[in-house]
Amino acid sequence: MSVSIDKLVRMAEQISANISIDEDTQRRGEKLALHMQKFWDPRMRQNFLEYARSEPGASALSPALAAAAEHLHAENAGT
Amino acid sequence: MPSDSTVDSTVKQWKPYRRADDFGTPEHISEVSVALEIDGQTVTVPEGTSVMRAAIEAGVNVPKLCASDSLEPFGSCRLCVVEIEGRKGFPASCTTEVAEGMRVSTQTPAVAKLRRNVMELYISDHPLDCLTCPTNGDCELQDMAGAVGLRDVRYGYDGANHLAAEKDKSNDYFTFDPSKCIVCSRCVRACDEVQGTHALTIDGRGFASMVAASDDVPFFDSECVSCGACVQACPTATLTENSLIELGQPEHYAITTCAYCGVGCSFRAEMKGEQVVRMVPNKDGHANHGHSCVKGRFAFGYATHPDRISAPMIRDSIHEPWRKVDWDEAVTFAAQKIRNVQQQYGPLSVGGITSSRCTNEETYLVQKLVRAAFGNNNVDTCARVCHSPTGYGLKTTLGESAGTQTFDSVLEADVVMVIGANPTDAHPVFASQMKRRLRAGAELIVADPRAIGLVRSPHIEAKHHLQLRPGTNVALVNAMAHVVVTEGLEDQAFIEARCDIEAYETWREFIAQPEHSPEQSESVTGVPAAEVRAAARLYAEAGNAAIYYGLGVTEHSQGSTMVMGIANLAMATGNLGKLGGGVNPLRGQNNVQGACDMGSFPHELPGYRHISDPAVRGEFESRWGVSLLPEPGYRIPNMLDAAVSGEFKALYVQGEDVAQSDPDTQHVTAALEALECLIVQDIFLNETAKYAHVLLPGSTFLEKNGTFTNAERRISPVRKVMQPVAGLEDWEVTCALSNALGYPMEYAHPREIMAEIAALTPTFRGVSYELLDRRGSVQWPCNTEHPEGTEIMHEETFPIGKGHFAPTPFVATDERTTRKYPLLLTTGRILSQYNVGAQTRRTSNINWHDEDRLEIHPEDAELRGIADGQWVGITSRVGETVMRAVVTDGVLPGVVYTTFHHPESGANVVTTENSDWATNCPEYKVTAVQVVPVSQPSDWQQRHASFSDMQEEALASAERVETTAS
Repeated sequence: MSVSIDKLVRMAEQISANISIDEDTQRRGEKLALHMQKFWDPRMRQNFLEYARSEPGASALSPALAAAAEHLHAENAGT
Repeated sequence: MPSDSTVDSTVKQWKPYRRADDFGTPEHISEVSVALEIDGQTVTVPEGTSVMRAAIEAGVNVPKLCASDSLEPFGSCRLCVVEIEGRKGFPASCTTEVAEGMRVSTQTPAVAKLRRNVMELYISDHPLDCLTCPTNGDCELQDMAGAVGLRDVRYGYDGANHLAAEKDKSNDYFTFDPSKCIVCSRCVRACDEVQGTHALTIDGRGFASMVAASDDVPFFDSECVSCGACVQACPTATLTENSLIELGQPEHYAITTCAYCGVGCSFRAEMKGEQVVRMVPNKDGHANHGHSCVKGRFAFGYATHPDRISAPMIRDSIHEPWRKVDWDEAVTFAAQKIRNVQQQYGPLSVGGITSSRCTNEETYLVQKLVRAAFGNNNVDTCARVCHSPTGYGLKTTLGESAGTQTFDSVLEADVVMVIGANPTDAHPVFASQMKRRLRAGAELIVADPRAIGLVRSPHIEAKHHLQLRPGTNVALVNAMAHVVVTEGLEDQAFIEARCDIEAYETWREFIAQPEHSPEQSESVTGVPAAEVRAAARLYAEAGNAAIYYGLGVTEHSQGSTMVMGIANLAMATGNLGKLGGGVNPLRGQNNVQGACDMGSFPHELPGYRHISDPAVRGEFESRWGVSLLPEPGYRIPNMLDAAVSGEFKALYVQGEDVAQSDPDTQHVTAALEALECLIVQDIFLNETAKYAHVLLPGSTFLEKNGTFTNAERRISPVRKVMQPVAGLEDWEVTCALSNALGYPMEYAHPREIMAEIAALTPTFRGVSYELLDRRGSVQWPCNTEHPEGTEIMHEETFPIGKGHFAPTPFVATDERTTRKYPLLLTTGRILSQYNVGAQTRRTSNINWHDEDRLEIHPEDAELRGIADGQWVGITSRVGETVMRAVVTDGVLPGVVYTTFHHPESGANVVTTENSDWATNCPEYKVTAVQVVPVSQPSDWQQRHASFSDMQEEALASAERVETTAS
């Protein structure tokens, strides 16, 4: 794996905390997903997504990160 | 390979040596013109101009010694006296202002006699060793003696004199020979007015008057910062560059641009053949106006240092000695390795790092090579570890990743706020300009955990020093914005006309919350609330308020947030789009701005356009004849992580030293060791090169053509004055590597690369070498709308239309002090050394800073039993290093500070992987550490020393093979 999943999750948490003052989890997740699309190598996004969509990752992620993963998944499915 | 056209166009840039023109007194700008008559010639000049300047501009050369157009008139040498109709006596033309209808005679028998008498007195106490004098042929005193027709000295030479005065050779770069001094005070005034250090004075009175440094101590021991302004100002051989003493007068010169910091000073490289006699700051330089610092003027000797890598070298393993090969073999070997890696591990397993020390053209080519020849977007630049948050933050708020002003704009500022920057050390020439403005009355706010030099210096004192705790910038800027918003200090007209109102209102509601008040932030920042309120009021109500910031803003886990916080503050107070205001990132290295502009970031093509934009990508695809991947690639820290995990296998690094400059050294070196192919292109065997398989000799700024872009977006020419040590300029090396990879790059000269950049980049559309030759420099955007470039950005609109207020939540870093690591380490740099020190350590600048030391507050030192000068171990959760302590109250209790100029100091062994949330810019400025007295180097230092010895030996044995073979 390129960047370790621990690090990816930590980076995502950090982005999520800083990127918005919006309390709404969905909207925060959307911004996080957009940021990842703009700045993350697709391999990092893919690793994050795989982790988020399987156990134990799915249960471990914070709501905003889970929401981001859903957005990324929806984007992938759309393309 | 070098082509004839390269050589031809270089030659045209060389001009025969002659002293720069000097109009005697500074230029005056006035809308009112005054007409006068000088020697029967009618002359019209702006009001306020001196008679001397009016005469010299009209081609009438008035003799002078104490006058120079870089200094205010002084009127002490009495050589420039003239006669003015209707006025008594012989006024000095330098201190006399022109008046309407004035009739001036510069040459009359009475004036001639007076001047000869004055000269006679000077020469009666001056050595007559002209033929063996270092400034023979370029001495103003000698010229003036000739001009006034001095034929004999009636007083003789036997009276009391200074001829036996001893030389001061304490400074390696210049000699002070007081026997040749005429006490014109130009050196003293240059130190005061131009540099602003006030290190020199005239000691004694009358005959005993002597130039003295500080309290009459040797120059090296004085407050002198060795900028050389005094040397440049001296009209005799009293203060002379040692290089000139050694080599004699230059015979030609070329205008070029300094390769040190982001000020980007313009220089005359004054040459004898291919040897630099001296570097003299260009008076017509738009960034520096004839001034320089110790690095730019004096520290060029590294270019001819014996450590230069002089031939390409290859090896299969880093445990083998190097083999010297020719260029073809080296690039073929490198290309094969790259292709093999890609075949085995996939096309995305390789990448490149561009350099902020190389030219725009070279940087552009490296990113082109990665995107087009490697076929991926794994390209990044050292700006990742310094100003990447500036890119993100300013692009988000103002729409362009660049500083908004010219340096000259500071002269119109009423308040200057310096945040997390140390201009007198890191951007000294701009600091001198800023200090000039501060001495003239502008107010100063400094936000910094340390008492940097600017806080209190001769004739300057910060009104507010907001001495915040490391890592709390955002809380501080939010508190300032809170004051602006809640005390009604906003510029409503600007906000309504220029900013996105919805975003503004969201931000305003956020920032007005009581939690952002100075009172509530005080416990976080440590800055008294009243001080923050007063500073915010001063900034908001000043008229023109300018913010200058540096890596103390960006190198934090909230670096991007802080940049946005700064932009918000400037927008809220209407301090954008006008002279004297603005948001100004001070860039660390000479071409940080340029490297970013040139598409060095993995997600952006040149001109900051996202790689996912099909229209932009299409332009590059059709010009480059390849298809490009639409997704961002790896950033440097991602590359290193992926190398450690075995997925990223080859890296091409141009002019960058990640093994010393990047955080968490042991992680970096583990990544480098894991690579199957590391190609390093550099001028020295730097720390990174010790892990390389291919070593491609780099060329210094003196050995190549190109352009640098400084912190004010100013594109300036770099001109070749000597042949590259190994025959190729850096851009030629990249072309050779690309050609070996099967992707053709054919350029005869960097001007052709710039033409390609201009064709593909809207903000560079109008940039060409012809324009640079004509104008000297140009600030981008330079295109149809701005054919002569852009001094002040965002005057009418922002590139994104309306300015965007971005909310700036303060999210504290995870890096916190604990019982185990109770101190916060922050890092920075000093005046004499530059970044990793590879250049400056190989010059006499080493005399000022021969090792990195740890600054620690007396309380913390006492608690640990640490004495000044004692060896201390600095331990963080990632590593340990050892250096000597400096006990000083310049740092706050609880904070320790060091520099990172020497590899063996291992400052970055201690810094962690923490980084800015948006850009992964490392958090160099905050590391929790413990400091204890120790008696031996750390384990890392011992391992580093033995590895370095092994690598030096690997290099030396390549030299020996060469010698045996030939």
